Amino acid sequence: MKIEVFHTQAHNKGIINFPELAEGTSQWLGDGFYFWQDYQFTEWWGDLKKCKRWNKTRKFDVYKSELIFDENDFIDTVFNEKDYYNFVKNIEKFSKVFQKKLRKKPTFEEFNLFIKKFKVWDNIKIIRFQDVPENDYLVEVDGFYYKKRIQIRVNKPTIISNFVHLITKDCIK
Amino acid sequence: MMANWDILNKEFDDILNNISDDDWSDWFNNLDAQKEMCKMQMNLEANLQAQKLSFNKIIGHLIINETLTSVSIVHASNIIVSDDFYNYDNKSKRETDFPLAA
Repeated sequence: MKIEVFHTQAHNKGIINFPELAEGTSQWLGDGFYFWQDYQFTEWWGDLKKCKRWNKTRKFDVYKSELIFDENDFIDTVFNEKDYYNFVKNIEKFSKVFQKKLRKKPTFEEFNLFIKKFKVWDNIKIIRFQDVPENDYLVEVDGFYYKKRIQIRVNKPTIISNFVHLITKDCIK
Repeated sequence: MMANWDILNKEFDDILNNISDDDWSDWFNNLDAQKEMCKMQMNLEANLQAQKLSFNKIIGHLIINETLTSVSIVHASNIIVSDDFYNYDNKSKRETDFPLAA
């Protein structure tokens, strides 16, 4: 299976030849390589997150890439009902046991580290998910967020291919 | 064929139901070290993949250059052996009579 995806990065490292690894607790499902499925979110994301004061160049870049993988290695929580409900079920199951053992709610990252440590779902290389859009300027009807803001998280860089620079944009803010 | 949930659910249940309290504590107390290890592993794999992609690009360019060179040679040999070339009279072979390349 092959899908075309997009990646946004600040220009302070120049044009890069491979996507940057996103790290930390704020990442959906922890460390990984994150992509947008739809181009339109890349420029909005660049202005929002890649144009902070630390970016002295006041520019960001949008890249295009291909992800090539076996369908068995893919959890699609956006378009596949079975994947979505099974995924939710397993996360909640994990959370229940985690809370019983450690008396606190787990974070995304802890879930991710858990499956990594105990080699659960070791063959899964890619997850497609969505978050809540709330971008009025990206929809054609104000307040009606009918578009999914779809992201793709890759945890095996070997499926990333044909990573090419598309455009350098000036920061608006 | 998508993710096989019979297998994925079983994998998950087997682990969740069989980890001892000690394993839980041990895992939770070493999260930072594990995080660092995961990051290093991911960066290493990323570097290898980036190098592989760059190498493929270089090979691709070499193949294109090689192909273009071969095409030029074939074109050149076509010109040399074409009837027009042989029928061209000696007078018109003077350099100034050849049209300029477009």
